[in-house]
Amino acid sequence: MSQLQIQLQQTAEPLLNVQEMQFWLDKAVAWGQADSPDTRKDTCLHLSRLRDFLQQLLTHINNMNSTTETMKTLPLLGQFLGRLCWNPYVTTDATSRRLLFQCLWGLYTEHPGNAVERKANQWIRKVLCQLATEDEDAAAQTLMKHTGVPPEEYHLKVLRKRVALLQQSIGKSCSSLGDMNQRCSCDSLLAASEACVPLVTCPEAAPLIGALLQQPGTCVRAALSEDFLDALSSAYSSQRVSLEEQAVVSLWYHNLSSLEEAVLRLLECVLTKTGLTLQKLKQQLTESLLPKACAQHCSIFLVVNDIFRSILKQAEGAESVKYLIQIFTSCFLRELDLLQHQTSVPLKALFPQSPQSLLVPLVTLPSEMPQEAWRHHLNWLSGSLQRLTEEEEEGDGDSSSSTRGHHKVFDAWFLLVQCAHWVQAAVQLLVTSGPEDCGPLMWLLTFLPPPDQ
Amino acid sequence: MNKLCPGLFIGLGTASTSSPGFIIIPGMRRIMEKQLQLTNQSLQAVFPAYTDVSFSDLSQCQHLLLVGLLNNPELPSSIMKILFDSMSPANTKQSVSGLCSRIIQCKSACKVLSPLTDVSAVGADAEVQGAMLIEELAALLSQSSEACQAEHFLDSVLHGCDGAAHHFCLVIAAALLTTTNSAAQTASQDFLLDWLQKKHSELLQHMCSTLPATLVIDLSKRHLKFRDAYCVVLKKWASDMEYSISDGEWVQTGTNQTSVSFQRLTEHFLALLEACPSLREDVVKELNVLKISDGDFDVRGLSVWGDLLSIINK
Repeated sequence: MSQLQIQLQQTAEPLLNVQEMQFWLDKAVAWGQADSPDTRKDTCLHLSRLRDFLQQLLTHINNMNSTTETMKTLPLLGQFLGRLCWNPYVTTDATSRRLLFQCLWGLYTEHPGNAVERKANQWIRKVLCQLATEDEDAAAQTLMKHTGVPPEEYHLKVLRKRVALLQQSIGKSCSSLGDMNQRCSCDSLLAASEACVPLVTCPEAAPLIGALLQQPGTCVRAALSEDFLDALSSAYSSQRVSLEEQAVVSLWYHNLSSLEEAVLRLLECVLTKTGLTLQKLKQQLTESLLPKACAQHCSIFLVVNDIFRSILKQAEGAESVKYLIQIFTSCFLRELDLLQHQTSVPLKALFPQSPQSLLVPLVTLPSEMPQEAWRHHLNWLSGSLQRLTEEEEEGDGDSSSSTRGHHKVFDAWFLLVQCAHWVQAAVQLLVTSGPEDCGPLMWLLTFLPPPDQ
Repeated sequence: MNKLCPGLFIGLGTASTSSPGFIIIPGMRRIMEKQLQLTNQSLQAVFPAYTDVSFSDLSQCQHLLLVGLLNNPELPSSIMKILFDSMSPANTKQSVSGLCSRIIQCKSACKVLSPLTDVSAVGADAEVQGAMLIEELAALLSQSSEACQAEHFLDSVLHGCDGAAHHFCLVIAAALLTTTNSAAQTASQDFLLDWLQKKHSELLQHMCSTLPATLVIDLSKRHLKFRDAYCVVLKKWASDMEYSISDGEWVQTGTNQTSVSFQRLTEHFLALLEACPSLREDVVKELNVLKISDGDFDVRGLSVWGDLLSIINK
């Protein structure tokens, strides 16, 4: 965009909003007209964009000098805000409710100077009053009156009851049904998760959200709405909602981008800190919940590993990154050990790209072996790795096999980085033992993959 | 009110919001009502637009104050902004700041969740209302040995639900099916059943005919009194039937509010006997006696009892 265009856009900003305003007003009208699954879905789909638009509106309103001026630039504004006030999906979500009210207050004039402003004031008061004190149905009112339960408490009770009932119905997954022909409730999962899009930041809905996330998901029909996962993920990363450990793990399992974000956040956190002790690093890793999540779901570990791989390549083997990977893998293996009696995932599945013959030997900890056996073990490791490297160098025939071989060497090296306890064992041996036969050990210490083409 | 007393607003903040029910000590109520009358009169003299506060309003003071404040055009916008503040964290339940925002969030969340189907046969609203009913009843019954206050409470609630008879039936059903945590609650369920049977048999009939069959069966399984009352209702429906030769079926006579077909009636009987097998012997015996009194015919169409019996005995 040229400089002139940018300038024009800035001064013509109100004009831009009028067209957008029409779009959003039409949406608000459509949502209010029919309460069908389609309109509900559409509302949830547009919620985050609506929030952005409300923020824009708020900025616009605050930039104007008076309500009269605002109404001149956006005559449909009152109608629009009014309709949104009566849309429960908008008023349930914390952020859109806040922005909506702030827009309303932005239109309120302390000392109204004309009829427009006086009318606006009256209307704002009326809408807010109605929203907060709207009459209930007869039965609710009479019971509240005669039992002394105030409306605030009553609505809270009803909300909690609804959440509890929905939790129960979701708990009846089809794995608990014996008869295959019995209709499972899994299709209701999608509807429930969609309805929870505006409820991700509502603390009362947390048990329901947790239950939705932790559904085993073995049934074909048990799918969670993508909008729901995205909304939850963004709320979690901006710390607008706190989730229980298991819910977080489930969220990562269902939603790749939230997992990636969590890994990147961890890397950023750890790699920017200097002087992190081993203890502190382990603490950080445990608190991040990632090792535990990896132990529970093989797929999560594979993703995390892929991210580590690419970071390592980009960082060109920086020591801090290697160290993090080593400690992470050891935390992960420990968590896996704790779970092993419940799930038995073969090592092969967790490290699919690593050379299989080296897997068990490398993953085994030095502490699990008598110290006298270390030298023999390390010699064997060194020899195997050397052979691998030589094979790659020899097979330089066609490009495809060389790339494959190249990957093999990198994968072997990556596994060594993950299991760097053996490198440390090699160092220890070199220091304590004499100069004889230190060739293989030295080789191990200086082993690096060839640079990327 | 032309001016707002800041003191009233402070009162809003400290008023208790979690009172389980207003405890009524008999003599105390009369004294309070007298005092209320005096206060009402003196306030009426000063503020012409004043509306009286009644005794039953006292438990809703905070809400009434809120409604009054929000409807008052002189309320400073700064105070309204505090009430509607959406920035304060949700944990501060007892604070005034953000009170209205929380109310709105709660109501909206309920509306968002209401289209979803759940496990409840009566619905979340009825369940909560039923639980409130039982709790209040238990409190009233434990307060005094006189049943009249509890009866008065039930009568008032029924009156307040005028026009929402079906929903009230759901609330009663929910109240009777609430899992009771104490002897007091079990006693109050019993009291409710007695009240239904003695004073509002037509309501009981309405429940039996309009509530979902599974619900009626659950009630019968849970409460012997209900089961027996249900039996009585079914027999009454049967006795009101006449055989219509043109239709080839038993039909209800009279201006009965509850319209039940013979088919439905037999379904009711069969479902009840399946759910409560111990009842079978007695019911069969009774129907037999009635059949004999009708002339002990085996041909269809001559005795409603005989026809019922033949279906039951299949």
